[in-house]
Amino acid sequence: MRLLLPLALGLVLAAPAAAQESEAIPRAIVENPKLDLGRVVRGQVAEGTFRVRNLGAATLHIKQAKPG
Amino acid sequence: MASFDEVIPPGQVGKVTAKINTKDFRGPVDRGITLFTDDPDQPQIPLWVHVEAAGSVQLFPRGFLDFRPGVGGGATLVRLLVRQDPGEKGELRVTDPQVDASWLKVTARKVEAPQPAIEDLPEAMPGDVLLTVEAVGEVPEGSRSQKLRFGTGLPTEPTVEVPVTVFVRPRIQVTPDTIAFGPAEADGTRRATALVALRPDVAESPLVVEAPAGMQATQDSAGANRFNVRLSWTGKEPPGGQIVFRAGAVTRSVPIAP
Repeated sequence: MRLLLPLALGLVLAAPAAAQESEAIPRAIVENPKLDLGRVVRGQVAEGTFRVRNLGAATLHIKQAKPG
Repeated sequence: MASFDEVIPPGQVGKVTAKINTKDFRGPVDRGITLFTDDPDQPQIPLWVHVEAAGSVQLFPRGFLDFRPGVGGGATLVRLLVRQDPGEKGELRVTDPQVDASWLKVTARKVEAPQPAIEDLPEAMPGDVLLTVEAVGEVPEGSRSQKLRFGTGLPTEPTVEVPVTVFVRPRIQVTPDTIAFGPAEADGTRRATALVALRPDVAESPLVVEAPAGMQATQDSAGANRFNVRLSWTGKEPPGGQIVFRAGAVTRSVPIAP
């Protein structure tokens, strides 16, 4: 009984870590985090696109894109 | 401003679209965007956008003027160097420079030969135009937003408008701008203090404090042209009305809080 108790405790502690390793998570990689829109005539709207690749095993959610 | 794909499946690529309206900018514009995601390792991802807003002209030291006329000991004039944008066709000819305030005067001078950099202006080159804004006559106190306009003779921006912020210190500045007396002390006296700053052009005259009858006013120096004014009043309630601060012919009235 005295030998079984530490073994059981060890299994309980190790279980969450094992679960975490197998948990599917999203992984965001922005391919072009610095965007140079070049030269535009003053008064025009300059527009460009960042490409966000999801290298994870779960769906990636973008919650907000906040200027500043 | 930014729009984005909210959901990106594994292995897929999503887009975040950034838009910058360059109407209010001139020259290089750099903006940051923070992307908030559910990636546990990168909940916030910083992004940067750079754009060059090109007009007919470049303005130095910057695309606006901040002018503090010399009545308070500040600058007596402010300069703006106008240079034709390298990508613009034609030849810069500044015409009809004007400011929408009768107490500001603007003059334009074409640069004929290279001139060394002065203050915050870069080296001037032949073909540049130097605009000088000066205060003339009676300049109103406080902060005002004005516009400087001029023609360029160039196709992209035939007319250029430059914001001008003008700040003129009050001749007599009182802080706070309302006198509030404290609670009555044991002997019934209520006290208040004010810091009074005189502009150099009125500081030769002594500061005179005119308080309602029965109110005591003393003053002592708080530095160059600055005074601590201590007011005391014995009575149930402050008398109301106002306190007049005078330096020569200039006065400033400050209300007493009820």
